[in-house]
Amino acid sequence: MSTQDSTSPTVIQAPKPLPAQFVTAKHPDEETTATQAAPQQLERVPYPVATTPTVPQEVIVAPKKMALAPSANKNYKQKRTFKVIIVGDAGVGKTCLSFRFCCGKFPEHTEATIGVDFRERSCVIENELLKVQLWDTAGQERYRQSIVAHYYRNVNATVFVYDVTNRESFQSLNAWIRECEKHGLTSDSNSPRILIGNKCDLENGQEKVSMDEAQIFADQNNMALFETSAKSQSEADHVESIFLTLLHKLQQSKPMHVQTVDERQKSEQDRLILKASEAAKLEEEGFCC
Amino acid sequence: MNSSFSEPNTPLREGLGEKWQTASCSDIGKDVFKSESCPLARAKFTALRHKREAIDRFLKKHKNENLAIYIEELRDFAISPGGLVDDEFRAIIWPILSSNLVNNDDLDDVSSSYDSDFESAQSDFDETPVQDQFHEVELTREDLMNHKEWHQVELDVNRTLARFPPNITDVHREILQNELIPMIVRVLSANPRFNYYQGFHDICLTVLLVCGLKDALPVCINLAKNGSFNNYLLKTLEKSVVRELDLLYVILSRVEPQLEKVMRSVELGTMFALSWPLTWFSHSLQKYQQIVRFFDCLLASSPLLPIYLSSAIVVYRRASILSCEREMPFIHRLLTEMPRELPIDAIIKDAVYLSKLIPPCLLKTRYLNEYRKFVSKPPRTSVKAIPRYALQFMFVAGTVGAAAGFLFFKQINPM
Repeated sequence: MSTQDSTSPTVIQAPKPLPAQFVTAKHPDEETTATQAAPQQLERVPYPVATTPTVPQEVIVAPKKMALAPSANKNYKQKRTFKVIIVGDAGVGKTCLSFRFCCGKFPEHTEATIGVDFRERSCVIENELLKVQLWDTAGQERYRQSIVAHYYRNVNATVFVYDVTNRESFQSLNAWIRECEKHGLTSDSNSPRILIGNKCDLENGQEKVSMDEAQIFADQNNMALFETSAKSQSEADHVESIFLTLLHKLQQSKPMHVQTVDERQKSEQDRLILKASEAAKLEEEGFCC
Repeated sequence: MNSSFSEPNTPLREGLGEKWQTASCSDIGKDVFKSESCPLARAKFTALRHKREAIDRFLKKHKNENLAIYIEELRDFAISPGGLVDDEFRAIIWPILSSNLVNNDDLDDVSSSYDSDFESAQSDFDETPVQDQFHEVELTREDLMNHKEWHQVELDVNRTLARFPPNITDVHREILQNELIPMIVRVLSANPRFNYYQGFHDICLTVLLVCGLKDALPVCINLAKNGSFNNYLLKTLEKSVVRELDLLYVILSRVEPQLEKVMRSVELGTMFALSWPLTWFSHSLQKYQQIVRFFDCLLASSPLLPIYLSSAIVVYRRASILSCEREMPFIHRLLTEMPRELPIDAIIKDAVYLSKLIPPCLLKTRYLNEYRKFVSKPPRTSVKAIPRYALQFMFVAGTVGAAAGFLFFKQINPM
């Protein structure tokens, strides 16, 4: 994985009054004027990596401010971490979407994700520090059962992604939903689920999945639907607002506890019961390679 | 000088201390021009130049012979520091290494050299029908496009821009990408039970870049049929690569118990290293030279070496892991991001050393079982259990003591 593919460090800015509501959050571009006026206290938070990244030169040249970024020295009344998993077929743009949200730009080249990648972003909403951990998963069928399955544990929200120009990716959403439900992420559980139709900037005639049918599907499955494009600059705000909506939902859903011990144990138990049959199968075969 | 290069890669303890080697040959070359004052870098550069000359002489000397006879020498060249040095040599030697892959688990000892000779002879026999078969069934482009994995391969290959070395022009890159798709599908067609996985394209791409289209196909077919990729392509990932990666913890528990404990306590799992054996590190390494250097070594060693290399990399990054936040996501990210500068030769040396210290045959059986037992054991309570008769003993001792004291004081101070 190249360095530019990784999460860009959150830019820490001088304390400024936060917007009353996340909806009013401006796009980083619009806020640049404000930055110039404010004292230049931009600092880069270094990676925990031992080496110095050399590739992402542009990032250093123009450190974009992320909306709702936490300020350097301020105490928040609460800190919470949310784990969000992004699933969908191969090539629908999961990596690009998560990159756009966490790093505020479209990655130059993305490669096929092997296994899972992790990106993080911190936001401040209503004086509460919220950390979003985005788990970007491999889309290929082969990785679905054995690999991605490990990451459904303690997930707070699920993002399903399909490619609006690729009907197949829309049709396989059912399989992805089933897969999630197998791991206890059902529509009636506490974890919100959203559906994103990516690449809406591309024109592709009849193949295209219409907004209507996607909406019907989303309603059937109790999900909020968004169509967007991680690539087009005009949609950048939109990607941002989708994720912030999700975040807001997460924040509202369970005000005081993200996951209590009881809940965790219960969901764990459900998961174990589901897994029991599979595990039994695995046990029978010895190690061989 | 020749002897120094063809000497077996004996595991040296010093190997673990030599952490600060420069990554690979041409990188050293660049460094030496940049900082001419550094004598160490210059010495390494000279050593590599000598090695280059040695390989060149060797190849010229045996030009008209079947190089497969000299497989042991070629393996030594590939594993020893600097690897095969130059892509020019790699293009000649990789096809030979790939048709004589090490199948047995034991890297060392004298007896294995006979075994591997026997096996290589055997695999030569196996090889010929494969080639013939392949030539008989000449698949047309249409046939290939109808293959169930064509679209997935196409999708992955079109996303490999970052993998190409910078000296390749865009036009050249597109030509290579267009060649790569049918090539991979041809490899997959070699066995109808092969299931493509994302990452296999990285392997084929590396081979294509080094060997060119004509030679790359047989090399990839050999790797898919006889190498560790055979398992990955035939079985589910859970039953192949994930099980191999479990061995990573077994190795770590023996060489770096503290590190292993940290990684286990945050429930890190092995997913951070998933792409390492699957793509022979080509997915995560950032420099072309590092990738081909690893390939040199892996083509010449046992199928389990990727796991030893993974362990060596984790051990190399020990300090960063221990200083990282003790949370699974952060350590996961730390490890998935490979540093740009890696002491490749030192890591290879460590890995080979580890594979002798903890040989694969023991690792997969006894050590794995011992580790499983060790992990499943509940953590020992910090308070030591009270011995069975301790309370009675205390009581008796206390009473006797009190009685003795009473008598003693009574004698000193009789009322």
